[in-house]
Amino acid sequence: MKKLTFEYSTEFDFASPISAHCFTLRCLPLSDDRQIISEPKYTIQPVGGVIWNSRDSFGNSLLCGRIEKPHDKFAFSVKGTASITSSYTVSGKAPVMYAYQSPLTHPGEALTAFYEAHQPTESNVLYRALALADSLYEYMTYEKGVTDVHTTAEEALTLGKGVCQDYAHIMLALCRMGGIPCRYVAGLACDEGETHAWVEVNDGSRWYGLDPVNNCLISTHYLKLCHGRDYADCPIESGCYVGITESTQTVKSQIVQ
Amino acid sequence: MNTPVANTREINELLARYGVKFGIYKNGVFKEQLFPFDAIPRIITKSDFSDMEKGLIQRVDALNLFLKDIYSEKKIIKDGVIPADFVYISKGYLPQCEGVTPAHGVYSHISGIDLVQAKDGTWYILEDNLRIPSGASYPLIARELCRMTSPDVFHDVSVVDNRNYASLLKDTMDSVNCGGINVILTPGRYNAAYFEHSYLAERTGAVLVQNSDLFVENNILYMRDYQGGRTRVGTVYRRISDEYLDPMTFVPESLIGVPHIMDAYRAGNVAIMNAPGNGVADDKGIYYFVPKMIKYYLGEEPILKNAPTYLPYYEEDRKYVLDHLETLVVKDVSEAGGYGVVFGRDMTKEQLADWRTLITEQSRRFIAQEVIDFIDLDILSDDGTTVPRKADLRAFVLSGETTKVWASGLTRFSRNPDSFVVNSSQGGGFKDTWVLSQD
Repeated sequence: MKKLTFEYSTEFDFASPISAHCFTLRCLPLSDDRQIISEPKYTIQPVGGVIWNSRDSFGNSLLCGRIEKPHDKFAFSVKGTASITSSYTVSGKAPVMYAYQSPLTHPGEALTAFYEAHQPTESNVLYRALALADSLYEYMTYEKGVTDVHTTAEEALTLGKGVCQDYAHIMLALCRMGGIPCRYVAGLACDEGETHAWVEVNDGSRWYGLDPVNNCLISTHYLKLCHGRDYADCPIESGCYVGITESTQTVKSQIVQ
Repeated sequence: MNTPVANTREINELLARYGVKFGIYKNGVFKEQLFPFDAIPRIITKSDFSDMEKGLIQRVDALNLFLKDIYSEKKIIKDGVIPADFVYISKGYLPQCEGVTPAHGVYSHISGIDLVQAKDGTWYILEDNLRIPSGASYPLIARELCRMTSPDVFHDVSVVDNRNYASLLKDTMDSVNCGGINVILTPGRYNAAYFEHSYLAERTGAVLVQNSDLFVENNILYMRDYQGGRTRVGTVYRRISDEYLDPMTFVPESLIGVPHIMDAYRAGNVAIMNAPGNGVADDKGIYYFVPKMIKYYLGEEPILKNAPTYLPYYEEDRKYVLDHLETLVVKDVSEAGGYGVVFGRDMTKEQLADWRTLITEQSRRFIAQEVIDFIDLDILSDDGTTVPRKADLRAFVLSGETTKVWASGLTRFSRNPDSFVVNSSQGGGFKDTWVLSQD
């Protein structure tokens, strides 16, 4: 068992004030039989808004809120400690929805061709997923700024470049083509400094965490924040507000053992 | 006798003046059109209606049980009655609604069931509309005007009074209400059914609101008033598609939704009429399975028949469809409002070949049906003579604590003598539907 302390914060600076700001944050990690979270504390700025807890249908813990008054800065942070009992696996059966492609993973020609060329031969679910991750890792080049949150798995594969989110989406598409139920995970990882994304594949009784960007199983340095069928089901931060403005976003995360 | 037929022109003028219109988007431009009223009513006998009523209640109850099952245990899939593919690939299935069971287990509070009557008198179900179907206000207001212009007719003929629709709707809203007022949420006056929203709000005593009037705090939905106060909302009747309902859960760019309304809904603090996620049950592919649902959930034989339908997804059906395409009607399961419907008999040889390829390649996307030779109804033509035209019937079924059928309905007809497509968005007209109270 490993003990971690984690800290994560995001700050938005708006060029001109916004108001009637509604937001949903999936920044509170949930305890499961891999990670046991204690004393998570959060802050939200500006203060004076209404904040409450909610749950989504994927099982994530949500912080919801509304800030009516005009503000040009919005920031939230969460910190706490976690005991990580197992490096990469957690018990549980996959709901059937995770066996099906989702809006950001629907395969087109590129994914179909890629899957046919790299169909794994292993019989074990985890080994098959690892074989797919291998092929993907060899093919893709990690590059920032060429994709965004709306980029689909098909688009990213066609481009041959992307970030952790794109790797995760391609991995999900390939696993689902191969009949492996799987889900998208957003969280924190050591050395990242920002948020990270990986996948969990299910063999009928357990989920296994796989990090396609680093082509490895996840380790005790990974802390999960939320999950869904793909990114669109579980953004860490989503919001809407009144105001026409540009914003800049600063994200910081830290995991210390 | 001073019949409604003699007053056709006056009634249509009044309908226009009252703003009884529907809006359509054509080539990206919003256009409001009058919905032409034909004063010759469709008449349904008391005994015919009584059979239909039983069949409709049975069907809607089964559809509600199906929705409850799909968003919880999924027994019907586990028991192999419906293949998982048909549920999970359907655009209408929303995983964001998993695990939510609304009051009384009712998801489809207002169901619009489209039927046609074959020449032998048998009624067939054409489709189920479970996402707040529109149209009840048209026969409602037409009846009111006919009663004004021709009161003696309604004195002499035993027609069931249909003016109870508003009270049926109000009872339904009240019975699922989670505490608070009833509101009708409209996207605004450019919505196709805006007339209906304002009319129903007036008649049910619900407050007509737009999204900016509503907000959520602590998973409770409130309406703000002009003094800066707030009133809790217990039921929302909405005509906003699921994907635009809540930018925090669905399409984030939606400007017509209410942020966090899904959190209030999931917490059981507000009823949404109809429930989000219903599209999985009125999918044209799922239609094929409704008779099986009735047997599965209710242990009963279906009272009302589906039109004979083939699913190219099944090999045997696909073979039949490919062999008989020229006599069938093919429907794209993801389209609505009469779009995506093609008749084999209208296709050229090349088109038939193209369709055969398409159906083979995308077998899950289409259903094929036998063309039912349904009865013509007389309509009044411009020169005052009567001509026969194809017509269907949208029956309205309301479910709250119990399920009830409104003893009326919207009869839509095609003005084009060669067309079988009667949707108002395709340029048809409508009739009142009279259910007789005595045989």
